[in-house]
Parts: sequence; structure tokens; C-alpha cells
Amino acid sequence: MGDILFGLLAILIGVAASYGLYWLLNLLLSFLPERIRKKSDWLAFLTPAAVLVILILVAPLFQTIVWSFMDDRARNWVGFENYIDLFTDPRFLQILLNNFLWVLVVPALTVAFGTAAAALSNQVGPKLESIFKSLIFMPMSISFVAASTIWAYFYAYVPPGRPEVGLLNAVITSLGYSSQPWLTIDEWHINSFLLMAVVVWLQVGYSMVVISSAIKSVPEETIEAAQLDGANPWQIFFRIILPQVWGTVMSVFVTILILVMKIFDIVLAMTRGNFNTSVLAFEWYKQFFENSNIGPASAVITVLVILIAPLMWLQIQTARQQEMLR
Amino acid sequence: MKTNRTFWLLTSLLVLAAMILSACGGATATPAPAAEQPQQPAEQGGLPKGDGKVTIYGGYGEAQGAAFQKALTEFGQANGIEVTFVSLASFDTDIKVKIEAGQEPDIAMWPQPGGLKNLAEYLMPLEDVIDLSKPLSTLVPGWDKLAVVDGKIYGLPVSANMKTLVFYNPSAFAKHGYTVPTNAAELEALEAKIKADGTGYPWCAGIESGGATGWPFTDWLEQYVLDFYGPEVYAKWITGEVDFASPEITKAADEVAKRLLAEGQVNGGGISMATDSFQNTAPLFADGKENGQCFMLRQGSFITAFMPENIQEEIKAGNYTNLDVFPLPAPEGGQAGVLGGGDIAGVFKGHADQDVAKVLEFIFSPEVLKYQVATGDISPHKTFDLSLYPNEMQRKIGQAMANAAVFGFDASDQMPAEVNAEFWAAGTDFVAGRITWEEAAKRIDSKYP
Repeated sequence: MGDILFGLLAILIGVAASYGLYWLLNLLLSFLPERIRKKSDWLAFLTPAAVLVILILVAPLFQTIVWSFMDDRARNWVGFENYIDLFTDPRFLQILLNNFLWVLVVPALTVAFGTAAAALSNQVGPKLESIFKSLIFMPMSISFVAASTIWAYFYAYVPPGRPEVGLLNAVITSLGYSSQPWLTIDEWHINSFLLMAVVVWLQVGYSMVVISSAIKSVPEETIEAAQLDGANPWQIFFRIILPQVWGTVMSVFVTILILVMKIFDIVLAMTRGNFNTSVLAFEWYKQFFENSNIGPASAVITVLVILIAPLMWLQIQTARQQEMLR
Repeated sequence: MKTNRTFWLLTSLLVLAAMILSACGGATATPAPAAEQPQQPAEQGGLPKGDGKVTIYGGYGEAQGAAFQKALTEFGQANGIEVTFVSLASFDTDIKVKIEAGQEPDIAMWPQPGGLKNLAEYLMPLEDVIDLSKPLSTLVPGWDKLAVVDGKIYGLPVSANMKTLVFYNPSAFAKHGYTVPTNAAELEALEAKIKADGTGYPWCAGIESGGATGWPFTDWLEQYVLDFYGPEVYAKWITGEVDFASPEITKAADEVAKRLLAEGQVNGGGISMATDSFQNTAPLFADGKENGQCFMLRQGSFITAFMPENIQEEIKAGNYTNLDVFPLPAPEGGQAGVLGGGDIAGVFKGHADQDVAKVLEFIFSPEVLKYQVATGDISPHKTFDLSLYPNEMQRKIGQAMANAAVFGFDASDQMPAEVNAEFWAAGTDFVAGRITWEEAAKRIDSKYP
């Protein structure tokens, strides 16, 4: 109870204080000569936010980069040793490969399924459409860890003779094949692909909803014009609709791309990185929290940041293009 | 107009100051009221007076935690101290987060001494808080050597478990005319007979355990290292002087492979061991090979908590027709050692006061476990009243602990956390048949600093 009161009080004081802060800034500005004030007031109002961003976002980033050149306890400098260790460790290279596969497969599949679901559901009439879309959208409301638990049962493997609990193995055995320990099979990184299926399942709903609304806003005239010109449904979709919603498709693609770069929960909950399924974010967790190796963990996360940065840029670009289209 | 402005200026300055103060207040309002107290001498009288509240964090399961809290509450009420036990879901990770956040408790209990030793800089030597002669006189030898840093004891055990146990189903043994093996030759003969009869598989041996997958395998290996080479080599193995690729450890690994990974020893072989939960004890009570029946399960004393409900009921009622234990016979050319684990408590710097000292003395005494033994834990004290054990089986286990001459604490739990994690992971890959022992050993050895 005391904690709650304290928290409420903190919120109150916080709101009052930020209000007071801006009010004070405004007041201080009013003392300045008119000429200077007109030129500098944006600076005064920007500063608090900028300071917060630097404290909360930029400073930790630089601290992490600095740590990545230090030892396990972040006390002594070790130069590039952490990076050399990482890139000479065959398992880390496998981790990079896994991340690469995730990035290659998941966004593309999610967007493809999402677009297909959006385009098809637009053809079946409003009643069926809402049922159809709700069903596809439903997994979105499940957290990653809960979804992992569900899918872990789907892939579950039991020794011969024991009651079957895995749905996939039940299907396989009913077809006359022998059951497989799915999540341990890393030939061709099959187990990683099985983990990816979970994310695709979760995110198709999101991609469908966003792309579907874009498709609905495609001007009717352009489609009618194409029909008059004798275009078939395929041509209408690929030549008329898709180019007009391409910006949306790309922004969904990049959003999921970044989500997948940081993928962590699925691996934690389903395989704990065993059997060659680890990814960068999980490797960082292992190094930082389980092994308390601050330096090497920071190196892992710095690699991740370097890989994600261009994607962020790409996302900003697509967002800007969207704006321009509007 | 001017005065009005000045007034508002001052008011806003006040608000700003309040904000800064509250921000600072938030950061320092951690539960460390005694943080600035100087280090106190050993006598309890020299410690600052307590605030009547003691907090303990640990990694106990639900039943264990409840029984532990019951004993603590009882002790607390008699001494006017409010003792709160909190179980952290993944203790090793969470306790570090709590320390970083300045929210460390007064006392914490590590399931692994390695974890405690890693964080020794945040802890204080126990001799600065309590008189250690009393707990040391009743503990089974070996327990006091686990959490020693720079010659000082930072942690002592509260509860223990034993892992040199083979659980079996006496009625299944009787049905097929099998007898409990007492030496290596008899064990091998029994394994051969089970396989020849086609009645089932000799061993139940799931090693899956979420993030800790692989630990049951490390227990097997530790057992054979201890049995083959005794405490000396065992200790050197922990510190890394004897590496995993050495002939000694390789021989022990070969023995484990012979026991578990050879054809027909475990249902589904190594790959199903790697995916089968250690908690899955049902096959021990199954009937017939086609139902995956297995006959022996080498596990810690805590495994009874994971047995099917009806079996647990039977044990509670003192009925051992379907479950009993025998000690794992030492391998050819070895001597039987007792292997176990337990939870080791230490006290945080700046938290020592008279109340904390009293609670420490209590949790390092045999009495603390009087309720907890009902959950499968056993006492690390020689003087624990054996009649308190809830059943005959646990009394047997408790007695073996009390009488242990060669006691080895779970080796992997004492290795650096990184080595331990790799031991689990590489061990799992070895069991699953994905790599050879040579490759596994190389991977683990590379984690030693």
C-alpha cells in the first residue's frame, strides 16, 4: 500500500515538475531580449527532451560499445579481443548464420502470407471476411512465450512406447513414419525453421490487417479502368493493387525485419539456444546474465546494433516515402 | 507585476528542486538502512541492533519454500523478528539483477556455491557475523569447504539433497525376479538380463530441464569421477587443474556412455534422453517394454517430489511396494562416494545486524529443516534428528548423508558459471550423439579462463 501511494505521489510530482520546468523555461525566456528569444526558444524547449534521450538511449549505447572493449568484469581494456574471440568461434558464426536465416525467411514469409490473406479476404464478402480475419489475427494477442509453449507441445517428442503428446509427431506416425525429435534436428537448420514458424504464425495477423487496410484504400477507379481494359484478376492484383500498396508492404516488411533481428523470447522458451538454434540476442542474454561476462556480452550486442542500424535507416526511408505519397 | 513574476520564479524553482530531490530519493531509497555501518567485530553484541525484519531470497520450489517459511515464521515469532522468505524464479540470474538494482536481501541462498563465490565481493565473511564453531561442529565434513574465498567462509548449507541414489520399483523387480545389485558386476548382469528378457530398459534417464538441460548427465559423470579417483582429483577437476579432455574424466565419461548410451540401455537412446524431462518418472511405473518401462532411475533425493501422485501417497503412508532406493554401486576399480547438492546461504555486506545474526544461526542449525524434510530435502548436519524424516526411505538417505565419509558436492555447480553452462550444453550434445566426448571436452575446457 505504501509503495502504491509512493508511486502515485511520484507520478504527481513528476507531472507537476515537468509542467513547472517548461513553465520556468518559458519564464526565463521572457526575460531575454525579444530578438534573441525568437531565435533561441526552440532550443530551450528542445533541451529537456534531448537531455533525456541522451541519458536514456544514447549514453547506454556508448557505454555498451565501450564495454565491448573491456574484460569480463568491465574493469580492464582488452582491445579487440572480445571481437576476435567471437569471430573465431565457430559457434558464433553459426549464431550469425541463424540470425541471417531468420531475417531471410520470416519477414518475407510473413508479408507474403499477410498480403495473400488480405487480398483473398477482400473477395469473400464482409461477413466471412470478418470471421476469416479474426481467426488469422487471433495469435497476435498471444505473447511470444505463451506461443512458444503452445508450439513446444506441437513439436513435442516422446520416447517410443510412451503416450504421444506432440501433435506433429502424431500426424507423422499416423502417416506411417516414425516420430522425430524435431527441435534437435539441425541438419539444414531445420529446428531453426521450426522456431521461425512460430513468429510467422504470430505476425501474419499484423501484416494482414495493415496491408488489407491499404488495399481497401486503393481507388476503385483504377481497378475498374483495368477491368475495362480487360485485365484478369492476377494482372489487377500484381499490376494495379500491389504497386499502390507497395509502401505499406515495405514498412510492414521492415518492421518485422527489425523484430526478427532482435528475436529472443522464442529461442529462450523453446530450445534455450541448444541444438544450434541460438541467435544474437539470446547469446547476449547468456553471456550477460548467466555468465556475467560484461565485455563479451557487450561485443555481441554491439554486433547486433551494427547489423540493425542500416535496417533502422531503411525503415525511416520507407516511412518518409509513405509520407511523400500521402 | 514584477513581484508577481519573482514569486512564480521562486515557486517553480521549488518545484524543480522537489523533482530533483524526489528523483534522488527514488535512487537511494533502497532497503539498505545499515549500508553506512562500519564492519562490526565477531560478537553478536557488537552488531547494530536490528529493525526486526529479515529478508531471505532463495531458489526453492513452492513446497520447499512454504516449509522453510513455516520454520522461519515459528522462529521469528519466538524471537520477535519478522522473517520473510522470497523464492526467485531463476535465482542465479535474478539475484544479480536485484544486486544491480540495490535491492539485495539480507540473506540469500545459492543453489550453487560457484554463483555465491562469483558474488563474494557483495557478501561478508560469516565469521564477522556469527560464531561459526557451532554449525561447523555438526556439519558433515566437506560442506564447510564449498564457499571459501581467500580463506574465509562466505556461505554454509541450509538444506541438502543426495544424488548417489538409484530409485527402483520393487514390485516390478519382484515380478521378473530381479534383485538389487550391490556391486558393479551385479549391476552389469542385471542390465544384461533386463535387455535379454526384453522386459524393458535398464535405465530411466531424461536430462531435459529447460534452461538447465544436461545437468542430470553432469551428475552421472561427477559420480564416476568421484568413484574412480576420489576427492583429490574431484577437487582438481573443479578448479580446472584436471581438464575435461584428461584420461581420467574421459574414462568416467566412457563409463557413463556404457551405462546410458549403449544400445538398449535407455528407451529411445541418447536423442530421447536429451528431449525427455528429468521429471518424467512415469516410465519407472509402466508395464512392459512396449510401454517404455524402465527399471532404474539414478537421481537426487528430491526426485520423489516428481513421482506420480499415487506413488507419493504410498511413500507418505510408509508403503514401499512400488518405490524404493539403493545406493549406486561403485564401478569396477572404484570406491563408492556420496554425491550431493544443497542450498548455501550467505549474508550481504551492510546488512549484518543482531536480527540477521540470530536468523543466520537458526538457518545453520539442524532445526531449520524440521518441516522441510517433508518435501524431500535432507539435512547436511550429522546431528539431525533422524526420526523427523517423514518416511523410511528418506531416513535411509538422511542416514547415508550423516554417515558420509567421502562427500562430494555437485562438481558442475562449483565450476565457474560459464563452464557449468557449457558442461550442460556440450554434455547434452554428447548425450544426443551430436558430438564425441573429445569435442565436448574441448568445448568445455575452452571456457576455463
